[in-house]
Amino acid sequence: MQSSTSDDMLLQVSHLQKFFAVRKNLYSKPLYVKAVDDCSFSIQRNTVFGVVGESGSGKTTLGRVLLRLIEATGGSVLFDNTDILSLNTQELRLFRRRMQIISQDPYNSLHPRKVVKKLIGEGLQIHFQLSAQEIDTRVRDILTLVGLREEHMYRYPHEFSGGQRQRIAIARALVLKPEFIVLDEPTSALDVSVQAIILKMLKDLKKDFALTYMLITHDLAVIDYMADYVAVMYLGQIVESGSKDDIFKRTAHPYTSLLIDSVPPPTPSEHWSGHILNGEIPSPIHSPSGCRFHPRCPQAKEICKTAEPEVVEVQPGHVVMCHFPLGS
Amino acid sequence: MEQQRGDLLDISGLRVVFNTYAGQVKALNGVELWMNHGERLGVVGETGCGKSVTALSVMRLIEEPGEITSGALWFEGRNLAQLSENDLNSIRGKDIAMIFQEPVAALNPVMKVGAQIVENIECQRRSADAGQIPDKRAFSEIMRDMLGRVGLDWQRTENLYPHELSGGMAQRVMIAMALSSKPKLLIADEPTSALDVTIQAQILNLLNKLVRETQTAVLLITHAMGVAAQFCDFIAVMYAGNVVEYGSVQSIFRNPLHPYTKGLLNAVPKIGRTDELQSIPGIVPDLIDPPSGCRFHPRCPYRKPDCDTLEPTLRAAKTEPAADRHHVACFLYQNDA
Repeated sequence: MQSSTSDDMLLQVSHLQKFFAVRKNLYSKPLYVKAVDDCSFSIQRNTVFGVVGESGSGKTTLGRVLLRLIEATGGSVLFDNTDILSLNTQELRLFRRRMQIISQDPYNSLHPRKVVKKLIGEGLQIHFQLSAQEIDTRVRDILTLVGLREEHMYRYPHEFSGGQRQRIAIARALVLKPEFIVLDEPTSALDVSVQAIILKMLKDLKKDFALTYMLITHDLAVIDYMADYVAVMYLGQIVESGSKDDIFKRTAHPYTSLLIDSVPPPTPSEHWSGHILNGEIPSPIHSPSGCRFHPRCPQAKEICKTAEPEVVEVQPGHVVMCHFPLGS
Repeated sequence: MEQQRGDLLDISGLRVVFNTYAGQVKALNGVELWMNHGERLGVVGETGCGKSVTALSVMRLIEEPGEITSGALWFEGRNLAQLSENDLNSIRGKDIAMIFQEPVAALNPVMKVGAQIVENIECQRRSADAGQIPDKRAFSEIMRDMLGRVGLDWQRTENLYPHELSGGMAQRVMIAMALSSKPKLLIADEPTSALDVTIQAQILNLLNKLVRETQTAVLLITHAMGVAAQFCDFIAVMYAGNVVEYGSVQSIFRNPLHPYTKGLLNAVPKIGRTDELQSIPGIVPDLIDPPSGCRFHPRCPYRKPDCDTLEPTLRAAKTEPAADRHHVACFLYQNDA
């Protein structure tokens, strides 16, 4: 486990848990959906930390718990060496400005009855108490920065295309000069040519404003293009994490390997899809015993059914949760 | 009857408009594409380029306020565009079947899965052997056999309702239903777009196996270039209501000719790709008032003086073997004309 406490770590997450209680009826005992189960990792300043996994693996919940948009069940999140999970509402407000989120669906994440100026300027008013004039200037500046024009200030979200809305969402996050942005599937709703523009812009902005991203996506190709470090999630757990090359070139977890193999490469080739990952992601309420991946794992042995694997460091910084990591 | 370019399907000069309050949307502007028996044609393009409208036109499912204004849809020598509703019903679901992006939404929510498949088989048989007493037990046998072929346990599945199925299972049920009539053409409209990559790989593998067995041709509509590259023999690239490039999957991916195809391929992220992504400048045009001439000309880096007045037609690219059927609608390649 990475346990560095050096200052270049912007975010240090340890043993983070988020359980949702579900009841069959009012009187039954609650069952727990372990959406995030004992996740630990650190995010270095000015890097992109990619989180990848199938739907239902807990990626989005992880991002939201980090920002305290939902409350964690356990664990700690050190943001710039302060445990933000223990802050009260007033203390937290100071941190809110520094951590922003851009979500997947630009059709739902913008208030339909607010004009762009209000959407972007609202945060400035709350966090900086600026004059109307000053807000006006800053909104103008940020709009140009994300490739929109001044005249867009008084339009409503429905007047924009998906790509333009995502630009507004980016502007709204950036205007507060944050240090950390959670990008939750930022381009999944967009066409490839628009996706290319948005991803390039996010890359440039990161450089210009010394930003740190946590990029949540199901698209491994986007992860490969954007991320420096990658965590692979399966049923609420991080089953493998490491640098981008660790994950793509020195893959250690069978799940990661199968996930990569199931992406159809965008060039015609004869040898695709030799390996298919069978079955579907199980219900997070009744997650399998032992290693949670064992029912789908082609390498599963007896021990995988009974004992949960330890987190092992196969190489410095490259951790994997598997009894029989690949290549060892 | 005209000569068909493909012996299964030949769409020529297909125009579809939608009459809306905001104006007439010229959704398809003379679409050209064709395919032979057993072939797999991928139709790729971005949102709003007319992929799905093309698919729906083949099934003649364009409804008010939409309308096919001109063009021919030759299917095995018959022009679907001119058939009566009765004649169409003997083709729909039987010779041409269709699966959709949202499998759960495409199934009847208040009917058990097994019964839905049986009902479908019954409908096909009714038109085929009219007058005979339907043999329900035989239909159930076919249903169970089909569920088995798509990798589902019929004993468990046949009594489930659609909401009890996962997305992957529901798509398998759709495939079972569609292929139960051994159609000559399967139209698959974004069949895996709503699924995870791992499930997508399973479904593509399954489709691959089944259509090979039944010799079914597939018209695959997708925006995912990877899916098209791996599954299809031929590709048609659409932009703003036109097929701008058509040819074998090798010729399109290895030697794209149309500036839009080039731009699209350069925008696709790929594992292991190290260069920067290139985007296409500008935005997709409004089809109520589409650009004159070539609809791509406002965004085209290679535009020539005539591009904004003349409309290019889809013509064979002369430099390549005929088997590649490489065609492109761009003046850059039509100097000799």
